[in-house]
This record gives sequence, C-alpha cells and structure tokens, in this order.
Amino acid sequence: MTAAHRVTFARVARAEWGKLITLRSTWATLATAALITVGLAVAININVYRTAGAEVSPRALTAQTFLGVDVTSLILGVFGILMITGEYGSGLIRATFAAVPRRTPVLLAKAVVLVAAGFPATLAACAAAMLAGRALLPAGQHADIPTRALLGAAAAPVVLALIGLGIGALVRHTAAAITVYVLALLVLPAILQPALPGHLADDVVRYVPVAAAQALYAVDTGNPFRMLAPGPALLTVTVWTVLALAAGGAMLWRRDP
Amino acid sequence: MIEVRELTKRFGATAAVDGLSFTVRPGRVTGFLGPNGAGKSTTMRMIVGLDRPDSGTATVGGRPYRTGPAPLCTVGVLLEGRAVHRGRTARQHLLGLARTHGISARRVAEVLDMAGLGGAADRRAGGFSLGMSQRLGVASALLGDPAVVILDEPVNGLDPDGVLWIRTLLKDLAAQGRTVLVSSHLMSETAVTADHLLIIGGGRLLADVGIDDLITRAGTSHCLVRSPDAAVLHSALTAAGATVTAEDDGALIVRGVAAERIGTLAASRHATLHELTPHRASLEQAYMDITRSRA
Repeated sequence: MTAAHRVTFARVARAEWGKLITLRSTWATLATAALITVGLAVAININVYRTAGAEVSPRALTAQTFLGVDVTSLILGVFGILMITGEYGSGLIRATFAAVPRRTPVLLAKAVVLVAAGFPATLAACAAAMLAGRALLPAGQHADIPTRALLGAAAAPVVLALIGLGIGALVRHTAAAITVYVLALLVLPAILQPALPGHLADDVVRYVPVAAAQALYAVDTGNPFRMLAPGPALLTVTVWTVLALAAGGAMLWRRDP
Repeated sequence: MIEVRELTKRFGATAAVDGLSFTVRPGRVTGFLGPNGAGKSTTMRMIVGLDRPDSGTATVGGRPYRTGPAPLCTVGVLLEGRAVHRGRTARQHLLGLARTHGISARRVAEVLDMAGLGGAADRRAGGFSLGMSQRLGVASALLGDPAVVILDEPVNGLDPDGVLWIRTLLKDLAAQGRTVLVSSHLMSETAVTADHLLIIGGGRLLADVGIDDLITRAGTSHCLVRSPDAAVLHSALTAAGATVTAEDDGALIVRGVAAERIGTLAASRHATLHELTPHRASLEQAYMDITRSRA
C-alpha cells in the first residue's frame, strides 16, 4: 500500500462516472429520452400549426415544444432509480461499499455524475426541440422560447432523476422503487387535487415535485391554476431533491446491504 | 491481523453470530470452518463493515474497517454470490473499484492476469461462468495489494484447475506474510491449505486450533479386537473402564482404552488375540465430532 492510494470524493465520483458511461443502457436511455423530446416537439407543433389561426406566442410555443418533457422526466426518473437499485439487484453494491465503507459519498457521487451526464443530454435535446418548434411556426410569424424556459425544461427531468436516485436508495428494489416513484410523484398529486378543498388544493399541488419541476419551464399567462414563479420553483425542487437524497443517504448508512 | 471480540449479530430472534471472539494472525492460512448457516459469511461481512454488529467489535490492523483511509489496500474480500453488473466487462468492473482509491489501470490488468482472466478482461461479466465470476471476485480482492485477504467459499464453482490455483494462491499469500482467512464448510478442502482452523457452529466458536493439534487431538478413536476369548476380554475391558461393543462377526469395538492397555489386559487373562487394530479418527471425523457435540 502506498500513501497515494486512498479514497477521496473526487475519486469516487470519477469511479461512478466510469461505471455510468460503460453501461450501454446509459446511452440507450439518454438517446431515447432525447429522441422523444425532439420527436414530440416536432409532432405537436406540426399538429397545432396545421390549424389556421393557432396562437403564436412564447407561452404557446414553449408549452407545445416542451410538452414531451413529462415523458423524458419519467424516463430519467427511472434512470436515476436504476443507478442505485441496479447495484443492489446485481450484488455489486457490496463490492462498492467494501471499497467505500462510508457509503454516503457513493450516493453523492452518483448524484453528481447523474447531473454531469443527464443535463448536457437533456439540454441538447431541449435546444433541438426549441429550434424545431421555431422552424415549424406559421410562415411570417415569430415567437421565442425564453432561455430560462429552455434551461428549466432541461433541468426538470434531471431534478426528477435525482429524486428517483434518492427513492432508489431508500427502497433498494427496482420494481418497488419505480412503484413508489410513480405513486408518490405522479399519482398522489393527481389525487390531492380533488381530495383537498379548492384553493388549498392549488396551494399544495403547486409545491409537489412534478408541478414545481414543470414550473421551471412554464411561461405563465394567468391560467386558473397558477404555477410557482421560476425562483420559488427552483427553491422548491432543490428542497425536494435534498430531502430525497438525504433520506436515501441515511438509509444507505443505516441498513446493511 | 484480524481481531474479533464478542461479536454478536441477530436476525430477528435468532443469533447468527453469538459472542464470537478470535484472532487471525498473519503469515498463515486460517480456515474458517462450520456448517452452512454457522455464521461464517455474516462474520466476514461484519469484519468489512457491510453488516453492523449488534454488539462487539471487529478490527483489522487495530482499527475498524470502516474508518480506514484506503479500505481496499487494507483488506481484500471475496464475498458469497456475484457482485458484478452483468453489463460491464471484467476490466470495467475492476476499474470502477480501483478508481475510488486511485489504483492504476496497470494494477487492474495485473490482477486480471493473476486471476487467469487476461483473455476475458474485455468480455461482459454477464456471460461469465460461475468459476470465472469467482476468479473475478478474487481479482477484486487482490486489487489493493492488501495485507489481509478474506475469501468466503472461494472454491465454489471452480473447476479442478481453479481449485488448484486457489490453493496455491492462498499458500503464496500467507508465505508473503499476509493474513489469510478463508471459509469453507468442507474440512477436506480446508485441510489441504489451512495451517490453522477456526471452527464455528451456531454462531459460536467451537475450536481455535492448529491443524497439527487437531490431528493429534483426533487421536485414536477406537480399537478393533478379535479374539477366541471374546467373552473373557469383554468383561475384563468393561471392568477396566472401556466401552465395548460386540459386532455380529464376533469382533469387539473398544473405546476408551488404548491399544497397549488392551494387549496387557489380554495377556494377564491369558486371552489369545487374533487382531488388535487401533483406528485413528480422520480430520473429517474430528470436525464432525466438534460441530455435532457442541453446536
């Protein structure tokens, strides 16, 4: 043993980066998510602007172009879950934790490389979707997607993937974690809406992870349901992400793999 | 050096490991023996910090495994079952572990060659046979050139070549002054390589003994006696404190007195002996006796 050999966070992150990019499924997932984002943007905008007199505005163009981001969010959410449950399923987690017995740096490193690999992919896909959306506007008309909405649309799936990673660490079994993810993030908010009294429902539902993530790229025009403004939305998703990862990290530390 | 003190781990109501204490010394191969379910794997997992003990401590080189700055360079461990993602190659798998410690790709290639996986290094682990997976597990244990090596049932799934390779490797590692702890449920396999034995059953230590001592301790288990004066001998031996069983063919199985004493007794009663054969207990028998009587 030489003094040079010791565990550092940068090394754990480097290791996790290598582990992520050596899996074919990583590339397949990111490519699929990108194709769906761009494909849906093209299909939806073509459909809308086939009708004469369709609204041409930043709000409409942004909503139409980034409608497919919800699908990307689900795909990346599962991607985040699998980053950790895949290790439990294969038994690799024991080797990983034998190498890094403090465990929590592993989860943090996974979060870092998830962002490093995921955000460029979603940003490229959303930028391509934006260009396609603009190109499909009716001849002679013009509208722009705000840069904030572009960045928000790219960040939203990554944020949900990080929450997925936290849930994966918490639950550990792939199927169970996906079930929890779908129930807690997608089904529960939909049930909350009718279950709570009117204005209270809106106040609560605004802050659930998916709604806050959507608010990152929504261009508001005074819908009956008011989404969070970008700033509070960013704060809200950050809190959810930190909570999910902290809970997952605590569970990693406490329970034997 | 591995030091285990009063280690206890419960799963629900049953204690998998129950107040276990032992020391594993460097420079020799220590066999960790016990029937399936005796607590061997759980103990090994606790030594490397994967399972948290309910009480007691396990230290390697004087400190708990979890607190070391370079765990892979302190202890190399092969645990039961696969611990590889099927989609990664052997080399990628090892790099994923090596990079956490800043261990070089050259060392990864080295341990792949040592494990006889040089030719399969860039094949996906999902296609590996059980034997190749075991070899990859051993390669990962050697990655950090650790002073302590812990292998859980390493010969499982290995072909005869692989078994021979493991035996040689264990002896070499011990000869280099490393601490080597290797578990098995088979005495026959352990006896080939181990210098020292820790025998456990029901989570408790049953024996902490050198293999040579065990052979001595096993000693004579019984004597087979044939004599035309069997009836006379039977009562004389019983009077002398022996346990005597008569076989169908007239032979006597005598336990509890040595062959010399049987001969002397026979002479004093003028009984003719046609046969007096001491039977030594095998290591296998000694092991079975220890696990049966005290487990």
